[in-house]
Amino acid sequence: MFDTSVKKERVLPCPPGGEAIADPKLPKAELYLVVGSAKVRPVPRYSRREQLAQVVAQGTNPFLKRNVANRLWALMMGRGLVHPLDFYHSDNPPSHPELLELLGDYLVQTRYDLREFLRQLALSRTYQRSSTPGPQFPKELLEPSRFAVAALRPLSPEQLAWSMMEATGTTTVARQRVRQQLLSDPRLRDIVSLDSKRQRLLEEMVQQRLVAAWGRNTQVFAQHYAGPSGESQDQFFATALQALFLNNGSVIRSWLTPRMGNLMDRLLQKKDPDQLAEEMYLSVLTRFPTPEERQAVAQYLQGRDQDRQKAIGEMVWALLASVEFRFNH
Amino acid sequence: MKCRYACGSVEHVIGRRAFLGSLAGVTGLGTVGFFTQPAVAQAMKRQQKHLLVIYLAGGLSQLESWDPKPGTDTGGPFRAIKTSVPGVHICELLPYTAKQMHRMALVRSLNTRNVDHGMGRYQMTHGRNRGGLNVPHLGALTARLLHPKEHPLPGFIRVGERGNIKEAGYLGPEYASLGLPDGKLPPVAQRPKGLTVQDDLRRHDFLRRVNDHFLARRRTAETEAYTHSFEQALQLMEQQEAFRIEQEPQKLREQYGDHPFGRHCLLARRLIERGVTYVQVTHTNYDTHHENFNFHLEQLGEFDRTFATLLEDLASRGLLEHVLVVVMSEFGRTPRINERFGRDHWGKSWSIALAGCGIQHGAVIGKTNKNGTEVVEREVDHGHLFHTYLRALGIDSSGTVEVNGREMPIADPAREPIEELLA
Repeated sequence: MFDTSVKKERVLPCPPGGEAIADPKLPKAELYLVVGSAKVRPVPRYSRREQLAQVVAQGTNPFLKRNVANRLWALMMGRGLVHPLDFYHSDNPPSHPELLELLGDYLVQTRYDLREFLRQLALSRTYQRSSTPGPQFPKELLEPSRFAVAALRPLSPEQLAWSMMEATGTTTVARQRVRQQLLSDPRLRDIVSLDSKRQRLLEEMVQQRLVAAWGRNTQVFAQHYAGPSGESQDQFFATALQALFLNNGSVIRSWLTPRMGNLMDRLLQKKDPDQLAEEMYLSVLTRFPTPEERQAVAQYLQGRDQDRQKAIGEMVWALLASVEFRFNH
Repeated sequence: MKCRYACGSVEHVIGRRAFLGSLAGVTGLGTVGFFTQPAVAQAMKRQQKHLLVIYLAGGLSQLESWDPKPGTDTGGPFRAIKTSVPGVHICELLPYTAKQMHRMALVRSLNTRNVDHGMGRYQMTHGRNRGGLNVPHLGALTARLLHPKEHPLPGFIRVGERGNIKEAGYLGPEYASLGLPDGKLPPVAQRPKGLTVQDDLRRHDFLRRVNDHFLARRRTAETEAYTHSFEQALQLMEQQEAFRIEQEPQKLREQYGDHPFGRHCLLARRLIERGVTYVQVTHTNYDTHHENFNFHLEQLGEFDRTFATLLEDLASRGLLEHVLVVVMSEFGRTPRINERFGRDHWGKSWSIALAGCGIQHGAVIGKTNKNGTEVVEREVDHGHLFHTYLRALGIDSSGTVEVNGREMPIADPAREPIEELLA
């Protein structure tokens, strides 16, 4: 409602949980330490953001530190202690308030050392729990907010794209090609051969070029799998359009075309169905197939000598489209 | 093309039709029986109810449409004309619609206490103010309550807009809409050359086996949604026909109008005929902060004939008994005409129109004062309307829907339907 008849009181800028701070009155000529221009970033003499930064660093605001802790927790565990992440208010209390407080305090203690914080989370029993509950598991403990079973975490659009490229051997081939291109420069070859540190630098260059060349594929995935921009991407959803994209999209199809050294090429060379099943499951799902799965693969290939390539492509597609591939488990 | 005249809201980003094009080729309409196709009408004998929302994005002026105030300081230049219901007058910009009034009803006493586009859009399609609870969009709710679970077509389709994955709220994305921004199935819904139906079905069988292995150990709401999306995709590919308006008779397509809104309304009818529960068609460019009158002349010129054709078509097919049609916006426009001959955002006293099933035909609910600045009789808001739509579709709006074991009220418990509007 916009009622212009009521004059609002002037509200002063106020850091979260703190006292209002009036902006200092400076003469116009003294507003900036560095005056901005088209190519120069202005530096103000007094900055509200700087006030905010100080409050953050002090760690005296309980909501701020807990919110940061909650988001990092969710990043690792697939779900916040306060969930959904953007609903941080009194009507939506944390599932484990003491834990959240502890985590918030730890963040401040370590001066917001995020790497250390994530390391501690990774070492926790919660993080290392299995995603498989087992037959006798009490049903009430399956409730996601109990964190008794590891959550199935859907891959982000970018993770999904890169994982599919990796599984289909697309990036393996590309990586080799980029490396060869780089090493065709004799000077670089000499430098790299000096020591292992420089060897690693080469790998970084390869990775950079790979991301530059293949990164655009992630955008297509984001169009289908990302939530609305500006919203926290913490709600999983599956739509018919996503499935159609996997089913009919040209990107996936091109990855299932045999090219020197990629997955399809390797599988085509496996004459024994059992070996083929092994290579396929290891490459896509990073595990060995079960006896039943080996049998299913052999069955699928039966009578498909005429269109063997097609049959293999169909199976690889199915593994890429599977629940097991879609969720980090 | 971006519209330079308006307030820069998203409602304006979509291109608009040229004025002349919209008025070209207007011919006679309303010949009873012209559309009659008994075979199709027979097929509609089922009891399923549908909701078709025509969303006039930006905010239709109530004064240039359902609640004209000619000859007053706020009335603007247009006259009011008679309709097929004696005593009910609407703006002269809607001559074809006026002839359909006996199938329609008006609510002229809306006070939604809001002038924000986003909030208005939310209010009118969710029946509540945006707040803590993640309530579903009307389309998602009706899809959940009315759409047959195994129906090959989705329950909720938006034509002329992208789908929005968040809109299903606590019902979950399964009930979110399929969006058809340009009124067509996206190209990705076509199997590429070299992938036969047989090949595709075979690999989906294999996929189900692969999934069974995993799901035997762990099955969650998310995994269910994921596997379901593949079944939906398969079904959708079988339904290409439903989206092909080229299969409609040329004459009918002309009547609907050779512009996006005309094509989208025709598609909406086709989809509803084939069982989609909720279809929302968007017509844009009503946010007329500048040149309100020229814009309404232009936009309603396009809307009027198409909308009248749609009602006539639905009625002659016997569909109108099964379909509730609602024409809504996020709010109305100020009675005061600003210095740019525009009208601004206004939620205090505005109108919507309804047609079709479950409502009193010819009814006019509520009243505004002489120059339209206030509601003087039977004030209602979006909450009342939401209850009313549900009731018109045969749903007890005081009921609940189960979400993860919790019973959630389907409509705002603090509101109730507009009883005198219901049939």
